[in-house]
Formats: sequence, structure tokens, C-alpha cells
Amino acid sequence: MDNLYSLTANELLVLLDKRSVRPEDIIESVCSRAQSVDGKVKGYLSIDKEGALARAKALPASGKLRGIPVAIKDNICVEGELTTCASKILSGFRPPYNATVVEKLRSEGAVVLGRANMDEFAFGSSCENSAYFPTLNPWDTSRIPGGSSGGSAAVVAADEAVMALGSDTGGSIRQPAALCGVVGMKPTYGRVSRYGLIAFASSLDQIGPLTKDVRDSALLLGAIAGYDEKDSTSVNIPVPDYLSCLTGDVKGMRIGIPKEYFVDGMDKEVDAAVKEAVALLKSKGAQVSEISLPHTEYAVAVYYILATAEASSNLARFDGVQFGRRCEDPQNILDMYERTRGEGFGAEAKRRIILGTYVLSSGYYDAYYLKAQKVRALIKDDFDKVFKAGLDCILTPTSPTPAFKVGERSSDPLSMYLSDIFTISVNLAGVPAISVPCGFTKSGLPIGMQLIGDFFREGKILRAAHAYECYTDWHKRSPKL
Amino acid sequence: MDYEPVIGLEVHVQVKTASKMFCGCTTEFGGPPNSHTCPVCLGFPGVLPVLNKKALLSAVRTALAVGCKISAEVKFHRKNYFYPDLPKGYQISQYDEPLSEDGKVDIDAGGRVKTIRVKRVHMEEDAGKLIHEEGENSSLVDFNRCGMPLLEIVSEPDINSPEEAYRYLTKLKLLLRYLDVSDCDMEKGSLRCDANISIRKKGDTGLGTKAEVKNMNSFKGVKSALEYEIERQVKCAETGERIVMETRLWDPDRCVTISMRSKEEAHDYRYFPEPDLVPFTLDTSVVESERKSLPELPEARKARFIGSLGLPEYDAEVLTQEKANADYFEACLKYYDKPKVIANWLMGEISAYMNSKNMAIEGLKMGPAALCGLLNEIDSGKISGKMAKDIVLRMCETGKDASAIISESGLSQISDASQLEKFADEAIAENVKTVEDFMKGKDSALMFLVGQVMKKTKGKANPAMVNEVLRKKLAAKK
Amino acid sequence: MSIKDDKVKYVARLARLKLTDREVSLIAHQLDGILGYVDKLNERLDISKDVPPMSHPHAASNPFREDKARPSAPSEAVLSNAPQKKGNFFKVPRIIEE
Repeated sequence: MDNLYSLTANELLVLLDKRSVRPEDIIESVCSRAQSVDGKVKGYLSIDKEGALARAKALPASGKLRGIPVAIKDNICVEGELTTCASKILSGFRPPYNATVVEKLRSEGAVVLGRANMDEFAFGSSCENSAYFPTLNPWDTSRIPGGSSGGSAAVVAADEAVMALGSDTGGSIRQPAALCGVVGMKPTYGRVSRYGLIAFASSLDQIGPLTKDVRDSALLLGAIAGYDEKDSTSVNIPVPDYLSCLTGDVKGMRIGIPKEYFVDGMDKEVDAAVKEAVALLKSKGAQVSEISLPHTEYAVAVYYILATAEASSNLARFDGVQFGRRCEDPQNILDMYERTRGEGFGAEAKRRIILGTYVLSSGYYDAYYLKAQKVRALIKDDFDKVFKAGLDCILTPTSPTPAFKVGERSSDPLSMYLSDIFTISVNLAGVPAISVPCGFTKSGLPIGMQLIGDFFREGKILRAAHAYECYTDWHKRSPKL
Repeated sequence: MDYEPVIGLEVHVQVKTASKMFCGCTTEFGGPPNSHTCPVCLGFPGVLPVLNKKALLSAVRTALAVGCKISAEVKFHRKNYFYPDLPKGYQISQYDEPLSEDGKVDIDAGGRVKTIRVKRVHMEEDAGKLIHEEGENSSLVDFNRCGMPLLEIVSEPDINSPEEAYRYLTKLKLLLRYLDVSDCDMEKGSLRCDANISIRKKGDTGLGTKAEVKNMNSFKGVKSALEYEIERQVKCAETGERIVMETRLWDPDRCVTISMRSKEEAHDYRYFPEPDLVPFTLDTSVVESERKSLPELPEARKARFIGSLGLPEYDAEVLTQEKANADYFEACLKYYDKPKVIANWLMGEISAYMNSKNMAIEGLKMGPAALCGLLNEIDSGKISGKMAKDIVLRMCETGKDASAIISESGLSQISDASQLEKFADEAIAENVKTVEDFMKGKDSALMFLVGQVMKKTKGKANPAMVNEVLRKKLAAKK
Repeated sequence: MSIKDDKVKYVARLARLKLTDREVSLIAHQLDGILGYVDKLNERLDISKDVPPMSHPHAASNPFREDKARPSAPSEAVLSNAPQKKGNFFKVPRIIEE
């Protein structure tokens, strides 16, 4: 078969099971696809075909993902392999350990195929902040793929990867998934171990799947979820069988539509596509009601205080002492610190380190950080209230606009930050959410909608998202490359 | 003008655990550089801390022992600053909600009890070690110590003399060693101390401008450093020189404190809650079970030694200065029922022996049962007290029982009257003049005859029995 | 609240980040915009009731580690990424008092 690269993991597993294909065939197919299209998309920082083929020959006897190649975002540590967060400051860094998700993938028989590009240290919503090169949207290569997991979303959309892992701190999985027309999930905070994920904002980060459809999302989530004694913030709750949650219908599901998410300035086509999806789900038996999440408007502000504060501290370890890049010929220790970091970090990283340091510095903590923490609690309360009232999920647009042009927002950080307006609250609250394709603009750009669930109720949003896929075929479309 | 110093101490002690505070690396002292490290204590990208349960419980025990209120929630904060011995660029510490607050330590201040309030006891991780290369333009970093669990014990400024500071420190050390929380060996760095010190006119209640004195690396060093610093500040005050708020380093070789140029930004640590560690809850049941499992603390033990065992205060004080010594003493009571006699031996011969060998009681080859065996031999008359002093040294050296040493060296006392009679007869025959004196009523003459018999038996005779035999014989002569 | 160049310089020093003068004024300008937006938290939202600050999405579950020493990482692994080393030490430039 020569179109193996275009199949989903679940489809490939059936073929593997029947022994009509070998894991090596899939790797070959995906790699040759990448070879022919990645010059346009630039989703990968590196592909390790030889390593993947070698691993494919020594797979465990069984596993949920046995023989499936997976692309990994460049901020997830793979032992002995370059892991740089798409930053110059980590150039040459080879971690002497695996992230827990990588261990889990390997024990389930998955093969790490390559490293996906990203915004440096996951700082960005366009993948333009990679220190190496920007990734482009497979649907229109004059546009950004979203970010920060732009590489992961683009390679899945372009059939250069069967599935991919990304990380989501404020929308970094869901927004690029929406902009690239794939499925992206941010699990509940604590559902997936963060051990080995190079931290951006520790209280918000989660690793999650980017896949071609919801069934694959359920499959990949099931493989990486679970308590990890190496991560004190992971939660010890049994992992359900997510595939069995996919009933194919939404009958009786209670879905809330928050009025705060349909704002002025939102793209008309996005607005229309999402409303159409709501109507469809209603027609299939979902109970739809308008709800209110009153503190939504503060989410972006809260996020940019808390996330940058944590980031400023998390990035302090990149100081040229133990790993990564050190500046040339430092005169003394202060000079080494300042130049190593000044030369090693890109513009957005510097901006966020400064902002985060500022809001924590003496005299500003109470006005910014403490206040933001309190509003964060209010935002979480908003979600708690509606879920306690019996809601199964919340439906919103994933991004206020489809993919924008390369360079369009890069000089205006605030407008870039506002592109995460619909995804950020979810990270602040800690709840899970999934983005699924729900239409296209007239010009052929994908539109995504977001389904948000209660804590550890990934099964419910997967069910609703999967049902929606059963009623539509948006997810089956592929970009022409 | 009379000034009094106002001193607060910040004491850091290394908690005795097998593994580090947030990772499984060993806490063993020494080892080649960076051999006791892993990605977690080195702060590699993506790694996460997991709290050592014993480190937390040791902190709880310490806090309870100094009477602190324990917080129901244990929150960690990040203290952010750059230094090459701090691999993450922040230290995991505690900030505005420490583990515990409001305790006290009572010290003996010139014969009266003085209470030094303890402001807080909190947990934090240690940093690595920097080695400055002599003549080189570089420094070397060893992270073996990095991530070791520390307790910071902060006193209120209730200390008013270097002597009080010294006593507070020794009292803390005693407590921590009783709790088995730390070795408190300043020379090995398992106890470190910084002092905040200011002076004020006697009778004033306000606080003057303080200096922070660091790098005091022995108990005596603390005393000397404080003495120097007080003198320096008084001199400043008297000559009208302004005392500035600053950090000063104690130089133990030159016996002076030296100003470190003040860093304006030094205190902007940007503390914020450690996001990688969800606050821990300390249930009352956990705290209570720690409280119940606390060993009897030195003060209570001393009181009991005086009250129910009848020891003099001095003996009780000496014996409770080390938990192991007091434990040894109490173990002896199981085999021997005269506490004061045991105390005498421990504080006398045995203490002298240990001092001469520079050893602690844990290293003593003679156990409590063996010591009491010896004491029982004395009581039974088998050996004299004088003989016992030789025997005890040999027991300490060899670890053998008293009875074994007595029999193998023929040291046992002659208490057989028939054997002694022979020597008594000889003594009487050889000392006619003395016998006459005794007959005339000079009772002390008898002691000379006893001495003669002891000499003939090379000290092995039971003196009381010799006395008795001689009296009988002399009475028969009358 | 308006953020000035010297404030950016102070913060950059705290963060050990060398910035050119152009970067300083650009960041000062951009942060003004961002903080202006963020300030709506302070202007528009009055948190009258006592809301506890939220630092984690979940409450404590006390994930302790038992106190057991495990083998440390091999020195080669630990030092393999070091920009500069000497023997088994990490090597850094001279530390001078600032």
C-alpha cells in the first residue's frame, strides 16, 4: 500500500494486526511523505528514520500503539537525542533521561519518529518564534500553523506523521489543531505526567495528543495518561478506557454555550461554523443551553501574569553552567550569565522573562501576581459552577480567527496574545478540552471548535467530539500539498 | 555609655536522611565531585521534585521539640537568584507560610533560665559547593551537597550576649541530636549559623541598625565573631560613625568581620509558590503521632534523673548532655540498682577513658550489662574498688566481661579467711612494735598491719576481711 | 502603570539578561501595552470578598517519596552536556563581588 501515511493510527493498527503491513512499511511511507512535503511545511526540526527503523525491529510484544510512528514536540525530553525547545540556548542539549510520556509511548510500542518544531520554549501562537525557522500552515503556506505546537499540528495535517504529541499551556495544542484542521486535546492538569516536559508554566502545562481524528486522540491519550510518581502534580486516578467512551452519539448530553465566547471582533465565518455545529448537535439530541462564565474577559490578563512569572523562574536554569550554550569568552560570572541568556533567548522569550520577572519583583507582587491568582480562582469557580449544575461539556470556538498571515501579528505581541482568548481559561482552571475541525472558510482554511469538560472527564468530551465527527466529514479533508 | 547587643540567630541544620530532599541521591558526605547527583538535583530541564517524607517528618519533630505551632498546610516557595552553586536559578524554600512558628528554647543565662523565642522552623534545600581556584580565572562547582534537606531555625532577637548565643546554639544542638534529626557538626557543615546583630543603649527598647554576620564555622567562632562585631559596633557608636545595614563575613584567621559590599538588588528574591509541589497537608493525627514518638527531651530527662533516681543536679546535667550517654546510663539500671554508683563510674573512669581515646559512648566495647557485672563483683567483695579501676580499662579495651578478666589474670580478691590468716600471722610476727602500740590502745596501728597484709597479697586481699582477721588474732593475744 | 526604561534595565539585571538599548526601549514600549491591558484586572475587577489565591488546579494529595537512596546518575551523563568542565567539576568563570 502506498498511502499508508494518510491513514489514522486506528486504521493502521487494524492492518498491522492482520499483518498486511509491517511497522517498517509505515515508517517508510510516512518518511517519504515527509520528504516530499516538509520542504513546504517545515514542521520537523529533525527526523530520525534510521533510529525509528531500528526501534521498529525491536518492539515490545504487545502495546496499544505497537508499530505506530509518533512525532514529538521539541520540548519533550528523549534520552540522548537533541531536545532544544526550538531555542538556541539549548542547542546541542541531549537529555540523559526520557520524559515519562516517551517511556510510556515506547512501552506501548510506539516509535518516536522526529522532533516537531515549535515556538521557542512554547512562547507563541504562530510557530514564528522558533529559533530555527517558522513552520507553515499546510492549508496555505503563506499562513502560520498556530502555536506553540505548530510543528506537531502541521505534520499531522500534512500526513507527515500519524500522530503527534504537543504541549498546551494556554492553547498551544488546541489553537494549532484548529488552524491546521486536526484534533488536539489538552487533558486535565495532572492527567498526564509532566516529567521530562521542559517547563513553560508549571501550573498550566499539559502534554496532549494531536491526531487526525478523535478516535486516535482517545487512543493516544489512553497511552500517555496516568499517575507518575516522578511528577508530584500528577493525579492518582485510574485511567478509563477512552475508546469505549466513543458511543457515536450525543443523545441526552448537556452542552453549554458560554455567551462570553461569542464576542465582537470574532471572525464571521468562525462564528457561523461554530453556531452551525451547535445546531447540528442539537438536532442529534444534545440538550443545548446558554451559560455564563463571567470572568472570561480577565483570563488573558491573568494568564500573562501567571504564565510569564512561572516561566521567568523556570528559564533561570538556562544559564550556561551545566548544559546548553554558553557565550564566548565570558569575563566573569555575571558577564557569562547576561550574555549567555541575552544571546541565547529570542525576542519573545526575553519579553516574557522580563514581564514575568517584573510582576514578581519587589513591590509589584500583590498588585499583579497575587491578584491574578485570586482571579484565577474565580475563573475556576465559573467552570465548577456550570459543571456542578449538570453540564457535560461546554462548546466554544477554539480560536477567534482562522490561520493568519505569516508576520501579520509578530510585531504586536498583544494581538498575538489575544489569539488565545478562548483557550486560556481552560488551562487556568485545569479542566480538559479538545479542538475538532468544524468547517472551512470560503478560502479553504480550517475552523475548529472546542469542547471543554469537567476535571478528569476527558471521556465525555471525546464522546461528544467523536459523535460530531460521525455526523460530519471535516476531519477527513486533507490539504493539497 | 553602656550598650547592649541584640542578637538573632539563623541556624541551618542538615537533616539526617538517606536520600536528598527531592530526589533519590545519597546524602553521604564526600565522594568524588558530582558523583551524588542526578538530573533532578542538578535542575536539568523538565525534571520535577518529589518530597522526601522523612525530611518533612524530621522538620515536624524539630518544630514540636522547640514548641512551635505546626501549620496544617506545608507550602513551598521558590526563592529566585542566580549563583553557580544553585542549578535551577531558584531554591525551593518556604516563605510567608512556614512549616511552623512561635516556639522557644530555654537556656541557662548565668544561673537563671532565659527564654529565647523561636520565630520559625522551615524547610529548604541546600546548594552545591564552589571551589575557587587559586590563581585561576575560574571556579569549580560540585553539586554533591545540592538538594540536601535543611532546616532553618530562626530565633527572635532575644539573645543579648555572645555567651547566650553560644548557649542557645549548644542547646539547639543537644535537642537536634536527641531527636536524631541532625549531627549538628559545624566543622562538617551540618550546622551553619548566621547572626543578625545590632546594639542599643541599655534600657532602650528599640532596635538599632543590624549587620548580618556570616561564615562562622565553629561554636567558638560564633562567640568570637559576635564579640568582635559588638565591639566594632560600640566603637562606631562612640565615635559617631554610622552603622550601616550590611552583610559581614567572619574571618576566623584574622578574627575580624569584613564588610561585603552591599548589593542593592540582593533582596529581590521574587518568591512565589512552587508550582511543581502542591501544598502538603499535615493532619493533626500525623502531628500527634510525631509528638508521641518524640524521645524524652534533655530537660525532662535531667529532671527525672534528679527526681526519681536521686542523682545530684550536676550528675544529671552531665549525663543528659548526650542522648547516647543518658541511654547507656539508663540501660545500666536494668542490671544494677544504684544510680549514683553508675553515674560515678560513667563520669569518672569511663569518661576519662573515652576522652583519652577521643571516642563517643557508641564506640565503647563495654556494654551496660558488662559494666554492671563489674559493679556487682565489687559489691560481692570479689574485687576491690581499686582493682575494679584497672579491670574497667581492660574491659573497655577488650570488650571482655569482668569475670573473664578477673579469672584470666588471677585478679580476684582473697576473701578466704584461712588464706589470709597466714599473712596476718606473718605481719604480726614481723611488726612487734606496732602490735605493742595497738595493744596500748593506739587503734590506728591496726591500719598499718592491714597495709602490710595487703602488700603481701599484692593488693588482692579483701581489706575488710583482713581487718577482721587481724582484730581476731590480736584480741586472742591479749 | 507605565513601565520605564530604567525599570526594564533593573528587571533585566535581576533576570541576568543582557539587552541592547534598542531592546530595552522596545520591550518597555511593548510591556506598557501589555501591562495596560493587564491593568484592567485592577481597574475593573473589585475582589471584595476574600478569594483565596489559586496556585494549583488540584488540592493536596501528599505525593511523598520514601527516604531511600537510589544510585545517582553516572558522571558521564551528568557532565556530558557541560559547556566547560575540569575533571568531574563543572567549570565557571571567576566570581567577582558586584
